[in-house]
Amino acid sequence: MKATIHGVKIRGVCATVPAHVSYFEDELKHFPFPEKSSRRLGKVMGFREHRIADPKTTLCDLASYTLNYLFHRGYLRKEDMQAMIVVSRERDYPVPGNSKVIHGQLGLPRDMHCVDMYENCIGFISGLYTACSMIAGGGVDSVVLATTITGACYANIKDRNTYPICGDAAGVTLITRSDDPEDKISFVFHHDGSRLEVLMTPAGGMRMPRSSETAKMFKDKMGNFRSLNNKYMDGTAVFQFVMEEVPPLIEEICAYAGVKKEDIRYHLTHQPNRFMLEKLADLMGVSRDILFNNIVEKFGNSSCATIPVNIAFNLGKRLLAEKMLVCFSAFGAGLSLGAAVCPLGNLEFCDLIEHPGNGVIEYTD
Amino acid sequence: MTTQEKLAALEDIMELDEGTLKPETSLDDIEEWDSLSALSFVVLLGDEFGRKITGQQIRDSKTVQDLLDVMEAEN
Repeated sequence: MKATIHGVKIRGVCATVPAHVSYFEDELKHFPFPEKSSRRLGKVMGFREHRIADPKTTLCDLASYTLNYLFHRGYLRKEDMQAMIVVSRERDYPVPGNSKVIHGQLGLPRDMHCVDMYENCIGFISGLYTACSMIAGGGVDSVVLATTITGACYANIKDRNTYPICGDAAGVTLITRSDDPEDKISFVFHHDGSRLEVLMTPAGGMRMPRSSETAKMFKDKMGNFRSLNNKYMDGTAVFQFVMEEVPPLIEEICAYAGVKKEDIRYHLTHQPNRFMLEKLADLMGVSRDILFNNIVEKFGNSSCATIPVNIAFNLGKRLLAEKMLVCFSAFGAGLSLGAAVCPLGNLEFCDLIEHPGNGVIEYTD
Repeated sequence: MTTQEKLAALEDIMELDEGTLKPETSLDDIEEWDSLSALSFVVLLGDEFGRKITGQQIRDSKTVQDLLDVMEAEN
């Protein structure tokens, strides 16, 4: 599926990560492998530290804290909010949805629209497309896109395949209507649900509710301990999926958007691990300097929030004064792929902040 | 690539001393045969042999000979 939406732009990006840092070196003793082997893996994959929220801090708290920061700084006025999309694969409650929880926490206007999207790693691009579609559809001139996740504190530390990369974060991106004819965003999406077993959590939904049976731990063929309640990833298949499908996706989005690949200043990708991103840059034929791969080693893989963290950490204040052509790309559970090309810059804010923990939502200097 | 060269490539992936691996060596007995080695093997197959292996094929491999067979299949 392809679409170009005219007259929309990103006005600002703010990412929030938990202040609490968990170190790979301290986690080695929990993995069911010799420490030497884990260190070798960590060195190649770029596992060093990741941010994990405490159990009292939920994905809605991270998003509300970020929004309160924007209110506090005057980047956004509560009364101006017209629509908010909250993207996550996790939720504060089964009922109601995250966007209503955040609406209540912040006392947002009653005449705004709040909508939830369940998404995985392509959540930022998928949410961006939905936000742009809402503006193009009329009725709203700006949309707040919150891509947020917590739950790393519940991840299975005996699974070296998934634990070292997990991370919590929230991204809040403000998308607005623009009169500048150069402001447009092109999107491409691909999905292959026939390969859903490659990256999935088998139990915990309607298909297989959690039970004492699904909680039983077993040792898998690669030596990790996990249960059906835990996320499973066939690392080889995910690696091959990304290597085979993302380079042509980038060619496709560039051709569709009518831009030359060499005109893309930065490739702002989802962040699974350093190794995969290095190989991806090589296969795409772009310099590793313009495809950042450092988010997992500093913050962890926060699913739908990695791209806002990537933008804020690696480009940050530069985007306040410069405007550049960028390509977003993301890939993950589904299996799903998404890419977007747009000018990004002259932002009103582009910050990375830390959340103090304990479920705080009020921001104070 | 000769069998000796392939064994050397596998030793390189697993960071083992030269001559450590024999075709009959069981993968379960090699501490260094882990997820990273498996991934490095996937990359080697793609880069050097233009071959693709599935995660299932890797998990089903029992001995060094099984890995050599994959490398030899279309070489």
